[in-house]
Amino acid sequence: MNRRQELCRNFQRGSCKYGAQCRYLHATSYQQQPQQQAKPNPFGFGASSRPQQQPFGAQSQQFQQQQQQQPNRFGFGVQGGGSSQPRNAPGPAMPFQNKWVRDPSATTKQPEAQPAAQAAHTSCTDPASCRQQIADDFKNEAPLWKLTCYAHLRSGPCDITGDVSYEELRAKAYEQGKQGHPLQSIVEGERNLQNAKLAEFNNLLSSTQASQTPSFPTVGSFPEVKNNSSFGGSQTNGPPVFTSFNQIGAATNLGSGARTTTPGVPTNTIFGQPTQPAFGQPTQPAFGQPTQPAFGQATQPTFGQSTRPTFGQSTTSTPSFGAPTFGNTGMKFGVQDASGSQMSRQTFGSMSSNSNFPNSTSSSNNRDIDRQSQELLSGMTARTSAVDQALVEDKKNENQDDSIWLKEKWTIGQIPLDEPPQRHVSHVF
Amino acid sequence: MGRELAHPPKDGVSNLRFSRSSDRLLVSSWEKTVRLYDARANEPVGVVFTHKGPVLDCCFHDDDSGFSASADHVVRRLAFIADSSYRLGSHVGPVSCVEYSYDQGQVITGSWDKTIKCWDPRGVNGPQEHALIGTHNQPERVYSLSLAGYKLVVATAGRHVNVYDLRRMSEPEQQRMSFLSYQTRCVECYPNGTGFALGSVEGRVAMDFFDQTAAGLSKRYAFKCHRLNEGRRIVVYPVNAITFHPSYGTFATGGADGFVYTWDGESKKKLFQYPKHETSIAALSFSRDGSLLAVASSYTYLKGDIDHPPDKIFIRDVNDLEVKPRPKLFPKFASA
Repeated sequence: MNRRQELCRNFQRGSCKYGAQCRYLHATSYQQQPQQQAKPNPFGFGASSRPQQQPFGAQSQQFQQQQQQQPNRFGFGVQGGGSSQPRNAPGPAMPFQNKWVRDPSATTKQPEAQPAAQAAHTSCTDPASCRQQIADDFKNEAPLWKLTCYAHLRSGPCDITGDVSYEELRAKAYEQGKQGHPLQSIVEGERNLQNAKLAEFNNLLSSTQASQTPSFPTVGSFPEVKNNSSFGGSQTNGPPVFTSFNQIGAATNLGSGARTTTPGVPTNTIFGQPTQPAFGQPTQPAFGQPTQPAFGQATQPTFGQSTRPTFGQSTTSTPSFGAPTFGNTGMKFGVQDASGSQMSRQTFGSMSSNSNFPNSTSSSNNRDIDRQSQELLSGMTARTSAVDQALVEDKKNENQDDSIWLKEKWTIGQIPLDEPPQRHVSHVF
Repeated sequence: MGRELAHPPKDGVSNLRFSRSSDRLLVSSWEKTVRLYDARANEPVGVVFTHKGPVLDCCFHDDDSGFSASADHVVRRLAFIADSSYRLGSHVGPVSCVEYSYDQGQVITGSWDKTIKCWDPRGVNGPQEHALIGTHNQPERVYSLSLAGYKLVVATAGRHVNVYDLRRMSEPEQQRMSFLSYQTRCVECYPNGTGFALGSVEGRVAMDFFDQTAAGLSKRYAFKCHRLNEGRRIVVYPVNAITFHPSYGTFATGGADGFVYTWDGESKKKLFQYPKHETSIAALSFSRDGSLLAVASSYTYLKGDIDHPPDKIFIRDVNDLEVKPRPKLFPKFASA
C-alpha cells in the first residue's frame, strides 16, 4: 500500500489529517526535531494500525515510551508499526503474548529506544535526553492547571511535588470565605501558590538546561558555551542563582503566601518558552557573558542548590535592560539576571556568598512574578511583545495588576479574569 | 446536547452517579447538598440532603440509599425513602471520594488526609459508630478511587497509584506511579477488571493494567485528548472525568475544555465527540445499561474564582454509534 516512499510533508509539520490512511510515509526524518509537537491525533500515535489480536493490541508501551523519550515526538511513527507488522501477521497471537516485546530490531529508527525506555523507568540514564524531554514537555504540553506535580520519567518519582487540585483550592476558598476573608486575599493566596509552583517549574527547567546547544536564543536552552568555560567546568550552567531561592521560596511559599522568597524567577519561562529568546543579546556585550537569564550559576546539576552567588549585585542593573525586545514575559527577570550572572561569574567559584542576596531585588521581582502569574492565571500564555512592554513598564508600579487596569486597550492575552480592585472602578453600571 | 436536568444544584457539581439498578441519578454538589433525580422522568425525587460542607462525592448503595463524602470530613449514609442521613464516620480531612463495593459489602472512602477508610454500612444502624473497618495510609492526599470487583485503585496527589485487593487490605497489592507526567485527576477501572484508566491535568489519559508482567506492561498506552487549538497555541486542559460504558467497555472522557469524547480503548480510536458544553465537564456517568449519559457541565474552578456560565446537568440518550466499539478489521501493512 505504500506506493510512495516519500515522507509525508504534513506529518513532518506535525499534523496529517489522513493518519493511517495517508499515502505518504509517516516518519520523521532521521534528524531530531525537538520542536515537533504531537498535535493532531488525540491518541498521539494515531498513524499506526495494528492487527487486533490481543486486547489493547500489541501496542507495546515501548512506542509510547519512544514517543516520549525521544526528542522527535513522532519518532515511533508508522515505521515501528510497519516494521512490526510482518512479525505480527503470521497467525494470531495468544492473549497476553507479546510477540515483539523489546525487540531491538523491530524499529529501525530507534534502536536505542527500548533499552533507554526501560531504563528510564527508574533513573535518568541520559541527562541530555531528560533535559530535552523536560524542555519539550514544558514547551509543548504545559497544562493549563499550573499547580501540578511533574515527573519527566514516566512512572518515575515526581520531580516537582506538592500539587494541589482545584477542588482543594476551591474548598479552601469557600472555607476562607466563610471565615470572612475578603476575596482579594483569597485570590492573592492562590496567586502566590501559583507563583511558587511556577518558580519550581522554572527551576527544574533551568537546572536541567545544562550543556545544551550553544546557540543563543534557542528555545529551551541557554547559551551554555561560554558559561561553561567561565564557570569553570561545571556542567550545568543552567541553574540560575535563584534556583536556590526558589527552593526555599517554593517551600515556604506554598500555601504560605510569603512572597519575598521568590526572586528572579522568569516565571513563565517554562510555560511559554523555556528561555528568553532574544534576551541577552543586546545586553550581553555589556557583560561579556552569555546571559543566562538564569544567573549562570553552574554547578548545580539539580536545582536546589544553595549557592546564591551574587544575586544581590544584580540590583543595579535592573531597569536597564531593554525589555521590549523580549518576547517573553519572563524576560524581565532575565534582564536582571544578566547583570547578576555577570557578577556571579566572578564569584562563582565561591559558591558561598549566600549573604549577598538582598531582599530588595526580590520584592521587585515578586511584583513581576505576580504580574506574570496573573497572566498565567488567566490561562493565557501569549507572549506578545505588547504584554511584555506593559509588564516592563509596570515593573515599577507599586501594586501588582494596576497597570492592567490602567490600560486603555487590552490585547489578547492581557484581559484579566478577576474583577478590578475597588480603586479602579470608576462607576457602577 | 441532551436534555437539561430540571432543578440542578445551585453551585458546582462535584460528582454524579447513576444507580446500578434504576435510572436514578445522585448528584453531589458544592452547595452542600446531595440530590436525587429520576433521569428518565427528568425530575428530582425526594428531599435534598444538606450537609455542613460542600459534598465532594456520592455513590449509590441500592435504590434506597447512598453515601456521601463531604468536605466537612464526614461520611454519611443517606436513606432516600426515609429522607434521613446517618453519620458513618469521619476522616481527619475533607473526604474526597466514596465508593461502595458490592462484592465486599463495604464503603471505601478516600480523603485529603492521606488515608482511605473502609466502612461497614450496616454499622450505622446502631447507636454507636462501629462502622469503621480499617484505615489505610496513602502516600499523599487521595484524589480519586475506583473499584472493579475486588480491586481497588487509589489515585493520590503526587501521581501515586495504589492498587489494593479488598480482601487483603493490610497492604497495597501494587504501589505504582502514574506513567503520566502530571497530576492525576481521576481514575476509573475497566468494567472487565483488567486495568484502569487514569486522567491527568495535562490532557492525557493513561490506559494501564493490573498485570505487571512484561506482557501487561507492554499493553499500556496513553493518549492525548482535551487539547484545544486556541490561536497558535495548544491549550492543554485537564481530563476531569472518565466513565465506562457498562457493556461495551468503551469509555467517555470529559475535560475542562467542555468537550466529552467517547473512545474505544482496545482499538484506540476516538468514537465520538459531543458538542462543546458551556463550561468544563465536572463529572460523567453512564446509566446501568449505557443508554443514558449524564454530563455535569459545571465550572470546576480551574481558573480561580471567576464568573462562569451556570452549572447544568445534561442527560443524553446514547446512540449506539457513539459508544459501540469499532474493532480494526484491516491491519495496515506498511511494508516499506
